[in-house]
Amino acid sequence: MKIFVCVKHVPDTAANIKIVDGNNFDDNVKFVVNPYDEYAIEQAVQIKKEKGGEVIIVTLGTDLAVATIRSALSMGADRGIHIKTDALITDAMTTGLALKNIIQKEGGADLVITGKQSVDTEGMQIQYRLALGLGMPVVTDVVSMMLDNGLATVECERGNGEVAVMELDMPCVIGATKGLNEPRYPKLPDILKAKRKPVNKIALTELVPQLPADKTVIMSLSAIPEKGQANIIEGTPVEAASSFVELLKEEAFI
Amino acid sequence: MSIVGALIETTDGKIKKSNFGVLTAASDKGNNEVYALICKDADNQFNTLEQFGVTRIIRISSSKADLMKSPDLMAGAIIRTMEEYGIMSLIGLSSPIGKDLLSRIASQINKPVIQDCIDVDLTKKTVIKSHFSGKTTAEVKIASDYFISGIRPNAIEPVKNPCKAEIVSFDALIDNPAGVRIKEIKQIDSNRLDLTEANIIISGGRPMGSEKNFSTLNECASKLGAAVGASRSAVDAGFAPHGIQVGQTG
Repeated sequence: MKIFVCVKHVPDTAANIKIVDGNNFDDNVKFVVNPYDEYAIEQAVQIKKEKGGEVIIVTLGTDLAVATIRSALSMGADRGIHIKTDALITDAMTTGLALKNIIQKEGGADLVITGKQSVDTEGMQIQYRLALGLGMPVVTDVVSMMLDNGLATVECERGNGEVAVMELDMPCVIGATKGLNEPRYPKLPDILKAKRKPVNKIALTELVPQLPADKTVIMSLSAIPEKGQANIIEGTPVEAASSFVELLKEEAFI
Repeated sequence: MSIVGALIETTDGKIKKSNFGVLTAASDKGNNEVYALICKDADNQFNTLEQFGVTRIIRISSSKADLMKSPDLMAGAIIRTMEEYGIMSLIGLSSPIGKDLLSRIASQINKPVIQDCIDVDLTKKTVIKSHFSGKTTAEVKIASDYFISGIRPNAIEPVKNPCKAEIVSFDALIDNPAGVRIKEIKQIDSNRLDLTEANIIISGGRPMGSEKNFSTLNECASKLGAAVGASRSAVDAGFAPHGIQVGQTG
């Protein structure tokens, strides 16, 4: 099976984001593999182990994004493709088009998996753009999946304690979320092996020579003020419970 | 006046309260004609939509297929409805179902979509939403002839704007073989109140210490009629299921 995993290089959610030029951010922070993409990588590697094939990581980003490709390779993927851009943030319509173009250039996919959303721009849509571009069915919020005879059977979270059991013909696109699997922590030998796996580079301008006319533009970024201190309720359990009830009545109006 | 479509979600046959904020955003203080698009029956509650500025309620179905069988069928039916009624602005909820539908619609017509917005300005075609997991807000402009966006449930305060709505039925005549087929909806936790519909949420963090301790929040919640949420740290530690995680970082 030829499995593509689309992975994003994102600032760690614990990083302190400094706004620069009004609508950009200082990239001098720790970057990581987008947490939701880790579930996608793990799933692809497990499927490859069971059914054979190849897992190819595709990442769009600056040169710093290669570190994320290497992390994905150390989890067991076979090779990587770096779509190089100079911009820290790329619009979803362009990203979807670039990913679709590279997969087609590579001869197509049996399966495409990505995380349900990125933790930086939180667009929640790449899987859909990719799927439409590739002419494949798509599902997201996937917490379980089974592949059998050209059919994918998945369970997708719907909120409210519900999951939808859905069926798609392969090839298809899957948006992975927490609960799909437990991403492995690579060991040192895997990390060293990953350094020698091939990573090919292609410029975004070569893959998408004409940017889509329709797009979204970040006009400004604003920091959200730090939340207030926690209110610690002292006293014995009985006293604390009584104070807590008063707080609920007076401040939360319950 | 511009026409704005509002995707209405229901649960157990009831129109979700979180739709009212969407309608308020769509109405833009009465500057827009709001068409409520609804694919599931909720006939005896249409007067609640009229309280929030809806002038036309479009009941969408297809005589050639059951729209509930596939999100692709439903998205296709909504696109046909938009074409029929000249709707180029569409707002819905960024709930799991709403997010999915809005993204399918936007991708099928190859137009931008912005999800999880906490405010929208339909005149300027801009939205406000979180970036970097709640550390910043971003003002984002949609540069397109279409405006498609999902509102974070309960982010916009509903404001009443009573009016009379015309009710129409539209047969989308959609019958494309579905790419994605829904086989079954499973209830995995029947006691769980929808976090987005709850008036009160009790959220537990990692200091709860264990799954057993965490479950005491359920007892407290049932006394208050509240839903229980969990921080990411609590979920990562295994004290609570990820389905009740509140936010990405907790």
